[in-house]
Amino acid sequence: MKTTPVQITADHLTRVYEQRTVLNSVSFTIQPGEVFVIMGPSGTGKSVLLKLLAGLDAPTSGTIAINNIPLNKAKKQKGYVLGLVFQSGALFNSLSVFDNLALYLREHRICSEEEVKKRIKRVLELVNLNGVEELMPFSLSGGMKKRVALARGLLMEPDVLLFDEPTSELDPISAASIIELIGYINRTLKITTVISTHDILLAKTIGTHIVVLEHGGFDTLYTPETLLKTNNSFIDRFLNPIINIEQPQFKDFLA
Amino acid sequence: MKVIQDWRYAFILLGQTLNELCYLSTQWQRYIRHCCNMGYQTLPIVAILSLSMGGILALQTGFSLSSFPGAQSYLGGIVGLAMCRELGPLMTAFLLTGRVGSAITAELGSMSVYQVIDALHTMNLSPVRLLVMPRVMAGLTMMPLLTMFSNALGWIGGWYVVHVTPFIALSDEIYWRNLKMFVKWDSVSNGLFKAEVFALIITLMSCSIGLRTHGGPREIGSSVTSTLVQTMVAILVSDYVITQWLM
Repeated sequence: MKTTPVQITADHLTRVYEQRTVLNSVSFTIQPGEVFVIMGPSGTGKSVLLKLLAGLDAPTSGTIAINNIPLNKAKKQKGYVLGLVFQSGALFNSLSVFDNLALYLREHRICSEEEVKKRIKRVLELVNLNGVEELMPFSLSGGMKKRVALARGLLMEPDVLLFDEPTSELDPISAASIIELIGYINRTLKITTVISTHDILLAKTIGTHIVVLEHGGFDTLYTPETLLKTNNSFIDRFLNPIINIEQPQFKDFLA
Repeated sequence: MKVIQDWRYAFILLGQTLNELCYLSTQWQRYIRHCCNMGYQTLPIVAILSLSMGGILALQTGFSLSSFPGAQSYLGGIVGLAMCRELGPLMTAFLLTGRVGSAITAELGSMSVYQVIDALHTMNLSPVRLLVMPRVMAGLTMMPLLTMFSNALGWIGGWYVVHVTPFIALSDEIYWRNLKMFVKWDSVSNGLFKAEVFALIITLMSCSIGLRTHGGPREIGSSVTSTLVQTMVAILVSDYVITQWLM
């Protein structure tokens, strides 16, 4: 598999939806081949940031650059290949697993039909999904869908892989195997990887750098070690939530 | 306001579809599949409706004309012209809107809501090339064929009612001779031109509204309703304009 890890630079990214600021002047640099993890409570802009990095949405202000080339220009020059693994898998329900995987290769006429079959067989072995080629997406479990989506991303031979909540809605064992898989792929192929997640296990296991979004921004770039030792009260509450049934935080509507 | 946006986007989509036409040869499998779905699978319902409509038209008109001796001999021409100039294309368009337009909006709407369209963008694949252009071309191919089928069955429905209804008192031969005398190629081609315009409206509106659906299952339902209402109104308005123009 031919990939060229790329550097991603975000400079003062702001995204406003109908007068609501979802991202507020976010800046960071992702080094080639690293695993950059975006964490934070629901609604803090993780998925929006991922969409901006994927070029699916445009920032209200600020810029994104791939290897120091502005995103739009880099896309036009086809200077890099980006794979995005969606939370739901985003597979075509009317196509079999094989046809879903073959779509990119066939439409771009990248290789012969024989080669398409070989590549799909190889990538399905990698994600541990042998023998599902003829199944339809609706007959797959959530974990299997995510693996197929990851396989589809890998078939593109991406230079950047983005993951939106890769372990959500999965049981702990399936989640662990997805984390293993992402970590293995990153170490083997050195693909620049960006993950949006709530999962601290994922972040501390495979993350190179971690940011925790709060109100559409963040102050510090953490490593897994520094994140776990931080004395930031917001991050501490996020990573170690307190559950107190005797004195719940919400209003007691039974009273 | 939303209606204006829907129409604006439909026109943009028309331009993008024309731009992608050169890729039709690479999308022929999808094109054939949509042709089968729009044409072959719509045939039974078009047949039932056209036979009924031709029969009802002959019955109603035959009953009214029975008060005027000799006027019934024009029944073939009346049924023939009404079917090929107006009822054939219009009924087929309404059926296609209900059966195919709503399905297109629901399918593209759910793809949009569940991020499949976004996935296509990240794969650098054009949703217009893969999802819109084959559907528009299939609509433009199948709609005139369905309309001709509808015309023929409407005429047969009219003949059958004439044949089995004693008070109409018209021979089969006079019915068909009169129909041939009045129905000329320009009447049929007028209807077929309308059919092409209706096909364009149905496929573009349903794709346009489907691709711009955001939210969840409820929004998909709203989009389908919006497609049905806007398309049917647009068909009626364009029908009037074209009829006026072709007179």
